[in-house]
Amino acid sequence: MVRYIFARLLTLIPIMLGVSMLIFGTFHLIPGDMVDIMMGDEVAGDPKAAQELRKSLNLDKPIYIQYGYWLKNALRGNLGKSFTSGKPVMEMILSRLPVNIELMIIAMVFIIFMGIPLGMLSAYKQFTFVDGLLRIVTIMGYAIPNFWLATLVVLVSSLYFQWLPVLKYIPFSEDPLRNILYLLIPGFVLATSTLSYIVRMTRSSVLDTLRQDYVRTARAKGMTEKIVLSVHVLRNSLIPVVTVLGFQIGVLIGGLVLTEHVFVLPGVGRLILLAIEQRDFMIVTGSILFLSTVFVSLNLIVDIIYAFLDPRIRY
Amino acid sequence: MDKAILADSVSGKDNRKKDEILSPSKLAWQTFKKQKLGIIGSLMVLFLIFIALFGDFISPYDPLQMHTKDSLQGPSAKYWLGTDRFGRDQLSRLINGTRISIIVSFGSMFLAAAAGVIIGLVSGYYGGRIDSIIMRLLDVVFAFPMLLLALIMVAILGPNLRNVLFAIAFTQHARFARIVRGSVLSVKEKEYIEGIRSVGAKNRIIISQFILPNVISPIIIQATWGLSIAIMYEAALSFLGMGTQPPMPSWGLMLNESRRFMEIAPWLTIFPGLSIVFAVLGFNLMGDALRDALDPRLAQR
Repeated sequence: MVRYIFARLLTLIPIMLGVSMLIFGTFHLIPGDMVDIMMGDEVAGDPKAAQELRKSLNLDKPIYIQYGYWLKNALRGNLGKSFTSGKPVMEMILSRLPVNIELMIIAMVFIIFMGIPLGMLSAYKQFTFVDGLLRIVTIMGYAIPNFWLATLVVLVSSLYFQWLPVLKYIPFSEDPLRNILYLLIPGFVLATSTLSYIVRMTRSSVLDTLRQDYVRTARAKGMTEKIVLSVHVLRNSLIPVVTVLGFQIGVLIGGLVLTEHVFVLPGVGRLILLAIEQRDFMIVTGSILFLSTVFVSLNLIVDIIYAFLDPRIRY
Repeated sequence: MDKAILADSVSGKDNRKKDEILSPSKLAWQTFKKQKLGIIGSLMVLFLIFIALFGDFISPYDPLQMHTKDSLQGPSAKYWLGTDRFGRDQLSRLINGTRISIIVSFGSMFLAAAAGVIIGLVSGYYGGRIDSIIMRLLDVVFAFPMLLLALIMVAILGPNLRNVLFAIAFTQHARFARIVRGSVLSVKEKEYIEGIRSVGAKNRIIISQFILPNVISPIIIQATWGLSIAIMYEAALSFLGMGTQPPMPSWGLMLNESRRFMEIAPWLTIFPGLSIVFAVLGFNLMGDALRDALDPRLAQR
C-alpha cells in the first residue's frame, strides 16, 4: 500500500511538469506584446520604461529560461504579482480560498451522505415507486445546468422570499454559523448534477453487486442481512463510485466558477473571471496552476481511497 | 462471432422468426429499440436537428431584429415566448440558438473524435515509446478540470464561437484517444491478427478491417455523451461571457443577458434554460440507451 502511494506520487511529477508547461505555453500564445498590455496608455511609447519592465519580468530572455524562473517561483509559492492591483497572486488566491473550500465540502457532504444512501435505497427498492421516482429525478437533475438552477434560485428567492438568505455572503470571521447557513444553498446547487450522477452510479453498482455470487453465498451461509449489506455489498459497490468521484471533482471545480458567478461569492472562481476580463494573466495563470495542482492532489487522494477499498489494484 | 445470439435468448416480446441468428449490429438495434427512454431521447435529438436545419423557415421573426416598442413583454399571441430588452422575439432566438448548439456540439465532437481516433490508433498500434509519450501527454490533459481548461483556452484565443468549438474539442479529445487506444490494444493481441499478419496483410488493412470496427461502438457511446457535455459547456462558457458574443442568440448567452431583468421578465430566464435541459436530456437518454445496446456485457441479459 505504501509502495502504491509512493509510486503514484512519483507519477505526479511529470504530470505537474506537463501541466505547468501547458499553462505557461498558452500564456505565451497571447497575441500582443505583454508589456504593451501591461503598460497601458500612459507610458506607451516610452522605450526605456518598457525595457525596464521587460527586464524585471524576464521577458527579454528565451522562453525556456522564463519558464524556469516561473516554475522556480511557483514552487516556492510565489505566483507573481497581479498586473492590475500589484498584490501578490498567491495572497489573493489564499484569501479567497476559504469560500471555495467551504462550498466544496458542503457539496461533497451532500453528494456522499445523500447521494450514496439514496442510490442504495433506489437499488434495494428496485421496481417500486421510490426507485422510479428517484430515477426520473436524477435523470432530470443531471440534465439541468447548475448555472441555470442557480439563477432560478436567485430569481425565486428575490421574487417570493425576500427573507431567503441566498444573496448575501457573511464571512466566517463575522458569524460562523450564518456563514455556513448561507452557503448551504449554493453548495447544494453546486452538488446537484454530481449528486444525480452518483445516485445513479451507486444504484447500478449496488444492483450489480447484489447479483454477484458471493452475496448469495453470504446469505446462504446464514449471515444476517445487515452484515451482508455493510460488509460485502457496501465496500464492493463503492468501488466504481469512487472511481467516478475523481472525475466529478473536476466537474465540481468547474461548477465552483459558475456558482460563484451567479451567487456573487468572493471565491477564486470569480477572481479568475474578473482577471480574464481585465486581461490580468498573472492572476489567471497563477490561479489555474493552483487549481490544477489541487485537482491533481485530490485525484491522488481518491486513488488512494480506491486502492484502500479494492486490494486488487495495489502493487 | 462473439455476439451472434439466437433470437430466443433476447427477452421480451419479439416478432422475429424463431432461431434467427442476429448479427451484433442487429442485436444492438433490437436492444436499442426496446428502450423506451432511448426512443424518446432520439426523437428529441432528431427534433433539435430538424429545428437547427430548418429554423429559418419556422421562426416567426428575425432573431436579430429589434422591435424596441415591444421590449420586455411577456409571452403573448404576438410573441409566443415574449421579448427581451431590445424587443427581440425570444422564440425566434431560441430556434436560432438551436443551430448554434447543434453546430458547436457536433462540430466539437467530430473534431475530438477524429483527433482522438488518430492519436489512439497511433498510440495503441505502434506501442512502445510513442505510446508512453502520448499517454503522458494525455495524462496532462486529464489533469485539468474540464471547464477550467476550456476557459483558459477561450480566454487566450478570444471568446467566439469557433474558439469555443475548438476548446471543447480539446478538452474531450483525450478521452476519445484513451478509449480508442484501449480498443486497439485489446484487438491487437488477438490471435487472428497474428494469423492475418503472417499471410502478409499490410498494417492499414489490419487497422481498417479489424481494429476500426471494434472501435466504432465505444466511440459512438463516448460521442453521444460528449454531445450533451458540449452543449452544457458551450452554454456555460457563453453564460460567463467567454463564448458566443452578442448579438448571437446562443442559449447560454441569452441566459446571461436575462439576469439583469430577471425580476421583471422571468420568462427570459426560464425558456433558454429549458431548451438547454431539453437538449442535454435528449442526448443523455439517447446515449444511455446506446450504451446499453452496444455494451457487450449486457447482451446476455
